[in-house]
Amino acid sequence: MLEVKDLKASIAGKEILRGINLSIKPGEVHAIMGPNGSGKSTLANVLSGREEYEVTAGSVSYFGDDLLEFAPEERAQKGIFLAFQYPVEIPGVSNVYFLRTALNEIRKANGEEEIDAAAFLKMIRKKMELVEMEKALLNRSVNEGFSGGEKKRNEIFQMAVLEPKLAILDETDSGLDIDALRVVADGVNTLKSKENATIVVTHYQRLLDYIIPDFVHVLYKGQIVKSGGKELAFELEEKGYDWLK
Amino acid sequence: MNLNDKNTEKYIKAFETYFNGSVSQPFHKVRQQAASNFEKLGFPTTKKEEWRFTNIASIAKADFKIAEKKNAPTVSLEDIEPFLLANWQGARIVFIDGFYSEHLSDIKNISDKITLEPLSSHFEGKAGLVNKNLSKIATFDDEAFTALNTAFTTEGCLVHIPAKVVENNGIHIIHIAASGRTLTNPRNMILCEDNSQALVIESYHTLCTDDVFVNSVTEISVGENTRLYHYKLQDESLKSNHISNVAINQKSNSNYISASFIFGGKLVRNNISTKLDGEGISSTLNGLYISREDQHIDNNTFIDHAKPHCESHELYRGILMDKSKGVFSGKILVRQDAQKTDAKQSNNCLLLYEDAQIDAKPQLEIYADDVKCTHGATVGQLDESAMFYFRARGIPKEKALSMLTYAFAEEIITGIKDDSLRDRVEYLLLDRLKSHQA
Repeated sequence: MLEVKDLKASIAGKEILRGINLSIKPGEVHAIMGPNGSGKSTLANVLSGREEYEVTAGSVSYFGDDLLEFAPEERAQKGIFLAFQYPVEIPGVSNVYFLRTALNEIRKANGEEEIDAAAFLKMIRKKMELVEMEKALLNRSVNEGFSGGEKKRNEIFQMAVLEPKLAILDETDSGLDIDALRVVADGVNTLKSKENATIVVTHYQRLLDYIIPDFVHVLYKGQIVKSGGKELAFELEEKGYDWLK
Repeated sequence: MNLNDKNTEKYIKAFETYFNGSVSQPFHKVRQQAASNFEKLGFPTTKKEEWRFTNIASIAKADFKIAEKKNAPTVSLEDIEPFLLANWQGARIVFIDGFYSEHLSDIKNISDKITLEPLSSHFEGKAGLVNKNLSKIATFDDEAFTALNTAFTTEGCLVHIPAKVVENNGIHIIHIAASGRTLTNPRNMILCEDNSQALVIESYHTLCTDDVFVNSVTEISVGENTRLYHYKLQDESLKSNHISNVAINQKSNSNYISASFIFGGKLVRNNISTKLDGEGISSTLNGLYISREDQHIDNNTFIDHAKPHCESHELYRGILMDKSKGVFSGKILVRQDAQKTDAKQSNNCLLLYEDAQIDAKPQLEIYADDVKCTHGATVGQLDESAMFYFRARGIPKEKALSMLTYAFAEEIITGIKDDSLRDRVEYLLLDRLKSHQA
């Protein structure tokens, strides 16, 4: 579904990604690990279309299309979902309205009918249970005054509702206690299917105790320096990133 | 003779020929006084502190003719259809170029105890309601535009709510400038006697493509234990120069709740001043404006806390696009007697484009020692990270922009008491955002 070839990207003239190659098939879970500043978040943001990053070389094909041609909203409409490392607070826009608008925009773009407020509420009930999200958070402004754990749960909740084909979790484990981490991981695991794929971007191995990756890639100075199975994550945890240098 | 004198003189000359046959009316003396005050004051310049951020030289210099009833064009109900509120249950009174239009008005749907008619029906009597009150609240000693309006006050609108009358259907006063290159002087008087309640909407529109100068004055008295909802919607063309003076006098335990919604006008100045002339008064002055192209919108508020135990609330929100300019000056005066005053003022702006500009000037003058006064001002830009968050969820840029902007304005819109007006304001806001992006 996703073919990344020799991808180079920079921000404010500084090159961060220096030739990434990555191939992802439906049903797979890929973990991207690496020390701070290795380009993990940049890769997540470039794939979801953040405009501050400039792609200088390489290509990304998504179901045969040139992904880099698409605006961020078009990528989302085609099934790409970025769970933000720092979810944004949107005062004055309620969580439930935001999410229904998002779902309907995605439906519209795919030639499906829009869903009305009542049907939407019914549909999201189960998904809220999945991430153990309190009902009260639905009517609050998006992420405003949410705790760190609530924000991350909200990301996974949005993912559960929007049902992406390719989910990119950007440091979703950062700032989570064990309990929240388990809830988030359970959510991701439940949503996993043969048709969709997940990229888990993380600094630490601990999330991978809960979300078992099929492949682990180590990102270092903007390049994937090592790829392997899930055992690579344990090796990294044991030896640290210095071992790669 | 300087330029300002010459500009002023033009209108004074017109005044002398304008009122043939009305000189016997008692009110004509007030007009003459107003004309001579206007001559003395002249148009304000930016040297005056209250006009520092707003230069009205273009109005002073322009060659506007005084609107005359005989020249007012014929306007049909179809012409004004866009200005009517959908599902409106109340009464409507329409003025073209400041002159009452009977065939466009519909004043059936209110209590027959209420007076809703042109002011001029009261000019002949001596001790009448109008003669007793006109220019007592909106004074013209130091306000040139009020003086100019008063000098040319001919018809205007009178709303009189007698004591103990509660009118929930609402009254919609529509002022339309229909003749280009003219000065129109809309005048409204809203008198609410003790223990009454009413909702009054003033709306201002244009039906011509030329420049106009609309110089409106509204004076309001709110009796004891009385509640008045007062809204102003200004949606004139971008060729309109709109100066407005709203003056309110509130008596004990009254509640005045107002909001102004400014969408139109090239050069706009809104003065609103309320005197809290009793105890236990509550006063709310809210405002929302959205400006585009080279619009200049100046909101100038003055709250006079004269007696103890009163509260005032002010919330202004501005959305500025293109190279438009906004000004907010909010003065709160707490006099020595006004202990236990609770005054809150807040002014927030959203600059959607880098070329837009806002000048804000809060001004607190406090002479009492046991009071609570707060003011805050923020100027923000649309948050790029918020925008990306929307788009990353599949919501296109334009929709994200309107959702974010609407969220900014929402508090003022949801506070509107009347459903028809709320729908219209919401529609206009979203329409301006949309047409801007198109």
